[in-house]
Amino acid sequence: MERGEDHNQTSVAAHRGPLAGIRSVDCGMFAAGPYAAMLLSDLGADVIKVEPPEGDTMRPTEKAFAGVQRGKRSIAVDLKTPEGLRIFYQLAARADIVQHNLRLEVAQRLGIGYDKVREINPRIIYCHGTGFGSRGPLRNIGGFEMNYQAHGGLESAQAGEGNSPVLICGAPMDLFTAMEAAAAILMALRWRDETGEGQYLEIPQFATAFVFESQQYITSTGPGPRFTLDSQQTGLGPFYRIYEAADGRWICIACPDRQTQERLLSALGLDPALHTHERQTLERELQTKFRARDAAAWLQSLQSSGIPCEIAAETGTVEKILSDPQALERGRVVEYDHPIYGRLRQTGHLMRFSRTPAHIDRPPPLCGQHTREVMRELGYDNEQIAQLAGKGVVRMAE
Amino acid sequence: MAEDTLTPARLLDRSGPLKGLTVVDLTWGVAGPLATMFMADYGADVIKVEPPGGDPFRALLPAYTVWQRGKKSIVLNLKNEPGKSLLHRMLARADVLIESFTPEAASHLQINYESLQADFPRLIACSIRGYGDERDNQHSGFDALVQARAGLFGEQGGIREGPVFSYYPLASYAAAYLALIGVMAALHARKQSGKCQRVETSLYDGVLAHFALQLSQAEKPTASFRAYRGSKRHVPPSVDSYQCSDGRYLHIHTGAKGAFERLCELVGIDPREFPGYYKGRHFVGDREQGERFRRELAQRFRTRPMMQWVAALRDSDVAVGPCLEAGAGFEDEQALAMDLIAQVFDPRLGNLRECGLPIKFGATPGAITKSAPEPGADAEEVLRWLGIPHSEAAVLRAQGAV
Repeated sequence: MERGEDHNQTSVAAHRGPLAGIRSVDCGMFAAGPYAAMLLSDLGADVIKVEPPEGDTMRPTEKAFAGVQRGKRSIAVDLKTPEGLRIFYQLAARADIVQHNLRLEVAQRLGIGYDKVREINPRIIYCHGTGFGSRGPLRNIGGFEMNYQAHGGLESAQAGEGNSPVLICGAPMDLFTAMEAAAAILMALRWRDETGEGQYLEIPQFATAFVFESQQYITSTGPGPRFTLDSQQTGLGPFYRIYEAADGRWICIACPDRQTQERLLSALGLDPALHTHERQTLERELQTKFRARDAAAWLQSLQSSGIPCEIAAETGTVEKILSDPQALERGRVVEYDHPIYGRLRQTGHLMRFSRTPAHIDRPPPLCGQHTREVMRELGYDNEQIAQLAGKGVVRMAE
Repeated sequence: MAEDTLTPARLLDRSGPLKGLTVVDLTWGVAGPLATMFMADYGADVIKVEPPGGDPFRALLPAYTVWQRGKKSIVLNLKNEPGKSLLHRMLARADVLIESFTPEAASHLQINYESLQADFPRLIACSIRGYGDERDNQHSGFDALVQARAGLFGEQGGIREGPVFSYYPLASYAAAYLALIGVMAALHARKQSGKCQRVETSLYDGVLAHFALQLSQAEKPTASFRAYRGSKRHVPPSVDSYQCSDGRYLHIHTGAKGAFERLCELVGIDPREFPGYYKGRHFVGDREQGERFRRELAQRFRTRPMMQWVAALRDSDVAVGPCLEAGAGFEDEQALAMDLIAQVFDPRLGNLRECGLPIKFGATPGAITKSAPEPGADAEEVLRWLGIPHSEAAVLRAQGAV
């Protein structure tokens, strides 16, 4: 769909994605910072990953690292040396975006704080990912995925009634904060497109826990209504949950309104008037019914009655996308050669653009893989590069 | 809690980076309303178009009190021609259309991209689907169904075997961010070319984003390339949660440099006794030593109340989170200091505390300008914006279009 459309009228540049021509300098570490930069790269931005000569702290987690780094060019620079810092300033001078998730005092000590960068490039969009934020009792305290999930009450909510805390899988505080950062940078870009003004923005990771909790509000007399997960971790009520079938597989149903709920009860051979019964009683009745037949049989009969339902897929299903030829063909999965891993497959486009589809073609970089290339673009000649490498200011990938 | 520690909702005096942008919002459910909430918070003029009787999800999701804030509402009957033509008049003046219909329903309303492109050459059209492929049907917009089918419930760990239901609508939350990113990127491209385009994402794409750390597959993987699973997995003891003497839990993480050693020193464990478990900054293979370490750690944490441990761990620079009750964050000192909680006056419910603005823009902070509108509350203002005179407005009302 996206390939053929408009092909003749649109310039080649447009096919580099909606952010073609935008440059970002990414000094992020771990997952949250780098994933934000990767999303921009997926949309066509030229992202230069600046990492210390010893490499991003997260490199040893290879697979997780690869998931948040593709599309970037890596330059390994020691920012603690004056020559290294000068390289950073040269990069920042020609960039639209500088992004990092270092602690505030670390960024300032290194000399890459906003005040410094703005002096060099007043149009810069400077995105600082913080942990708990830059103000308050926990300012500048470090944290990780599980610390935010715990503190924000998410582990308790996911635990179900009466259980000890359960971590939400997949690292959503990292990844959702990254998506928020990418969105924030693009909002700031919109402002700059309109007014010419760059700005500083801060993305506290802790805030993402509150976006998750945005379902809740508190009135002057106490909390507003709140869904709860039951103690068996099956759902948010009798009509929005999973039920175990005879074969041990689970069916998920989503019946939001009374009409659908009554239809479900009829389809199960129960009295539609039951829908008014209290949660536990209803769930017990429904669970007994669901245990009478296999999941596939239920799926077929419920779907033919117009009941919204699915079989809950087992562990490992989400990974199957990587071997789906259709997903590969449509660009939802991408594949390229990596110097160490050989053919590497990853999920690709999570957004599809009709006029400016981007081409994702670069695997996650080795540490310093593009040091030479990027320095040449900054005007350094081979001799200067070799000299700086000799002094340990920069490093090239072996 | 003292009232003066709350963030007042400053009305209309804090323009956001999206000031001047007009968004027509035809979404329902979770993802679309959350995406357009961000747009409204950060300065866009968001007009929520609701069907007669109002968006049915108002009655189903208490969260609409929060997610619809700052928007304008008009009720249009898109099933009749005058209603549809009013929508098209809105689109002629808008920058962005965002919808979460099925592809069939979108065609029916003549808001599929092919029809829009010709008539509204500057309009960014964003669709949020269930899957964004042939799996889309009239039920595929339900978050739980997408999570179930895509395998997120299967990955979630819990107290028992088998799939575990997600408390949060994770697929939709992620899709909200993806839609926001997509729209903003398309706006930048429009600034360059002057041309519109369509951007599509889905709840399923949201699930894929959720698993970005594990969705890579290599032809020649090394051991650590294969190892990462963010879900039903063995949790190393130094990134796990522990119960304290008061029955409450805390969750530690020793990923920072030297944190493992600092933890050991604080709780009085000799790290040299566990060389097979921990080396440098990384966990190494020895499961048996790891389990012994977990038991010793659990024993230590059971000796003092949770908040005492949290304070001590922070003093020792070991990353920790207290496992608070769901909802307890609304009283949290740090959250208040960062303005993560906002106070909004709702005519029906009074003063509310709710999720504030998560992104802190230095120059263009944005604001929560008002609470969620009643269905159709802003019809007159919207009609005025469209330049529709009173007489014509009366006719439209009589026709049942508004």
